[in-house]
Amino acid sequence: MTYMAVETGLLNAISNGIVTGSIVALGAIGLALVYDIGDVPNFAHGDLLTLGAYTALLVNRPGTVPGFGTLATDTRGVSIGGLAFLFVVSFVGVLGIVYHLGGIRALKGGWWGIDAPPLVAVGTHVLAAVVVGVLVVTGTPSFLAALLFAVVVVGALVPLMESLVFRKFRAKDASVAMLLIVSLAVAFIVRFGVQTIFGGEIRSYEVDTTIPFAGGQLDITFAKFFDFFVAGNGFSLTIRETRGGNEIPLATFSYSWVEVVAVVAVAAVLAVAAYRWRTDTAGVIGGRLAAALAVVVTVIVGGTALAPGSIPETAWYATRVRASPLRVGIILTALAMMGLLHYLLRATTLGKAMRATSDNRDLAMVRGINTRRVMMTVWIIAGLFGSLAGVLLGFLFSNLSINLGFNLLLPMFAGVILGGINVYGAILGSYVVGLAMEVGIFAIPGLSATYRIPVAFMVLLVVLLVKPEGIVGGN
Amino acid sequence: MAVSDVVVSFALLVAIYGILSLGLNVKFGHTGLLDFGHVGFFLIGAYTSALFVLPPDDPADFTNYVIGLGDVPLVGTWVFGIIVATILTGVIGGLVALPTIRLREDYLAITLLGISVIFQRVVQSESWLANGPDALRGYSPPFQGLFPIDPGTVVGAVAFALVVFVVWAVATAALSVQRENDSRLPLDRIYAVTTFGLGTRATGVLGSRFAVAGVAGLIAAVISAGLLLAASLVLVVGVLVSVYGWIVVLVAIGQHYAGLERRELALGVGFGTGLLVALLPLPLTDRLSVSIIGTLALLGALVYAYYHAITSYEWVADVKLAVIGLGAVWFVGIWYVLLPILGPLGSGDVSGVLGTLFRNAVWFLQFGSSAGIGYSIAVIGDVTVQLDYSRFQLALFLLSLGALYAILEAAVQSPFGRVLRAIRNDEAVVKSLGKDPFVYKVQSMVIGSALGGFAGGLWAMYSQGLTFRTGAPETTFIALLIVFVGGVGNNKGVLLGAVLYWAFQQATTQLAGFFPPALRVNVLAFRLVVVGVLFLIVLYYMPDGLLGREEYSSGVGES
Repeated sequence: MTYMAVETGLLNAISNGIVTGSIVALGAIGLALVYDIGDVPNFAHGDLLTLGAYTALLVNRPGTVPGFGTLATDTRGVSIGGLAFLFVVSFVGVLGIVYHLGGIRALKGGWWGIDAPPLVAVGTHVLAAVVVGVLVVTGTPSFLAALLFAVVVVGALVPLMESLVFRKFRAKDASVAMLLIVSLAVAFIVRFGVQTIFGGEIRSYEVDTTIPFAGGQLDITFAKFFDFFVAGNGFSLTIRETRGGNEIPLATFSYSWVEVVAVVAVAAVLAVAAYRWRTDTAGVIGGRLAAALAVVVTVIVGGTALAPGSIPETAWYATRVRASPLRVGIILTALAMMGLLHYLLRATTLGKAMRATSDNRDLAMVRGINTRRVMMTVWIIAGLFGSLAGVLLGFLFSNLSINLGFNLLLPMFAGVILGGINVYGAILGSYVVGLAMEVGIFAIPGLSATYRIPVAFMVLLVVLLVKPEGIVGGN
Repeated sequence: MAVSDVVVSFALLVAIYGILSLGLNVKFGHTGLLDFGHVGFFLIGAYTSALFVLPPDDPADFTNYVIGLGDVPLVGTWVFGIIVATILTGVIGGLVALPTIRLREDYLAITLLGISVIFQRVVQSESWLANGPDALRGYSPPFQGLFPIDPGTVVGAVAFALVVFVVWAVATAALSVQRENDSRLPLDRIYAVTTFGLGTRATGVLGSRFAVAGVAGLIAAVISAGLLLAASLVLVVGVLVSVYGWIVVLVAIGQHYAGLERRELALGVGFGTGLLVALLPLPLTDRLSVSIIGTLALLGALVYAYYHAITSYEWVADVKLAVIGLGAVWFVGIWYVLLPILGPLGSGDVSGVLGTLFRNAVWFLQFGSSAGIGYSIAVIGDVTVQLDYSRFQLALFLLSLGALYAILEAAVQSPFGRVLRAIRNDEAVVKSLGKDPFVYKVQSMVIGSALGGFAGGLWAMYSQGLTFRTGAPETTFIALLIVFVGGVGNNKGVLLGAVLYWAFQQATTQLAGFFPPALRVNVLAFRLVVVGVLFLIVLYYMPDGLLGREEYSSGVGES
């Protein structure tokens, strides 16, 4: 049996779009929160991604960081002094994040939402700081340790923007135009501050991309081919990879149309049931999320159970998707972070305060909600998510430049405005923008990859001109 | 390069960014439209005018662009190219405004930023349009072929006379303002001489002081052209014009700081000297860590001392800006006069000292090039002088800047300008009075964008090579900074802002020369950090800028 040649197509563009959308969404979450609750359309947000991406170099390639290089033994090794420095910075970073939530009182547990003895709270915070420090130091110079370090450090640095700059301007009743310009100045300071330290050369992470997987070695940047076939008797999928010039099939899944219809029907029924069950509850898992989870579980269970079969000789339609474990990992990371955020917003006192402030700040203040703490939380989240997006972006592109984050600023703004300036809308909007970018490049002939950002922007422009309140609909 | 040449290239940049920022001031300062994509029009203007003067492209020579009209008579000239660029950017500004101008201001800012990014990406990726990602080169600025000029020919004399005209007219206009202030100097007499007698008598006939200045400049130009053609007296004319310039500059400084008491003057001089001392570690040590840490520590000490002084002593707080201004003037003075002669002074070379002083004093001419006219002066020795191209270009740029400034001032004081400011202040009022704000906003975008395009044309001329980086968003940021430093909605303030920004840039560029080439990028990035911090300070402490919002007469209730 000869294997038919399969070309990449729309489905591949869509899968790229989901990866791009995931990164845009990670960045857009912070931007949307700051825009919504902090009332700042933060033009410096893109440069937070850059800051995060470069901060990770301190752990990942310490020898190449100017100034820090004296504490390094070679490009990747660090001396005892360097390790101590990294530990102290991570330790201070964690405590700094807590400190932003309300000073010493926050360190004593003031933000917990439950009454706890101050000693317990301080102990917990210090323990967490030590754990993060130890993780960073023992993990150096691995990519994950670098990621953790960058997220903690930037998460502690970004709220300073609010407390040192924006709060002061807000206290003077600065107009939106003024805050826009202020954020542009802050963007300038951050971007060129990074360049002052790191210079103009393009950098990259050094990541060990092979991990042990199912008894063998798996290179996470190495593309796998997912070939989809639609034929008369059903639908099938085969996963292949290139090894030594030959394509080798790894796994095959095949379904008859009856099986497909059955899975879809079961999924639909379960989704409706789950929606009915969870709708109108204020819990973490609401109706729509429950329905989506039901569909995902059904498809995975059904798909695995009914998998056996073979690839058809001829197909009506065949298309190939190139995806690497890294890209899948980015999508899963983004989903996991969104899940965490969702939990924070729905199930914690802090999250409820955030939602209340977003709905009506004056009312929230009257009801005794600490809006300053809410504001700082927003900026901390912006820093955490933004630096995560920046590091992932630097890894995905395999190079870091000073404009890394600024280039993503317009897509992020597009996603946020598309979603009507709220967190959940921004996530949806970001995926729309990510898909539009990749599918646009694929579908419009003669459009080179340089036009990704203009395409994202055109989506924004159309939405602004047709439905300025965003696709989700405003209040 | 003599110090005066540095000043000339500084003034060229001031003219370009002055026009660019005047355009942004029309949009933001006068009408309240926050255009974060102003640089897009600068980019289009630059590329359009360059394409008009470039010869046709030649793929064999790896050039590829859509048109190259340089060989077409009349069309392929800078004048035509810049006119087309100005009109085109105005039209594009209007087209961009039509759908977007109704958006609320944060959306408008994002949208216009996005549009400028699209312009930049199109220039970058469309290789048929303008060399794609590669630089667009191969053209020369106007009349460069005439230089170095031959003063014996009519063309040379006319070129020389044009520069004399601009300098003389500007200096005379400034002097006419100065003589109205109370002064112990015989400014009236100087004014009578430099206006060839017109200044005291003909003001009534000619109307305004600007007309007098123009006519005086014209007379000076004709006289100098005659002197050149008759006797090649380049150096004599150069000395006369330079001395006149010095008088005006020194009187301006003297009058500006005339109100300061002695201790306040001393404080300003002390501040300027302190700045100089703080920078001394850079040239004095070769050890980079010592010089960087030393300079930063001394600068920090200076800033702290200043901050301490303005917060502790009331009399210092009253003159806090004047102290910085005077310190800067003092610093520039030392840099211009004293630093260049330190070398010959150290080796006891008296004629060298005098020669350097003379060369820097006669800023109107360039010295020491291979081409030019040789003179032999007592004590100083042989000198070769010429009027170089950059001074001629500066005359052209200043002429454009002056003309555009005059037109803009007339426009903002007209009823049209009043409507724009009313829109900025309260749109609903304008609507209720039966004016459609939409129409006026679009017109404001057209004018502002056209000015941006014009500035782009001058930039193409100045830089003699364009890349898509010309459209980098940083330029918009700098234009905004210039508008804010001088005073939002204040055209005079915009010019002041441009001068201050480029003075800072020039000073820091010179400092970067003390660092090894590998570190230049870092140093230049650091100065942008400083610019950003200074911008925040201006926004916070002086949101109306140095000159504040200009109060234009309402035109009502005055008689």
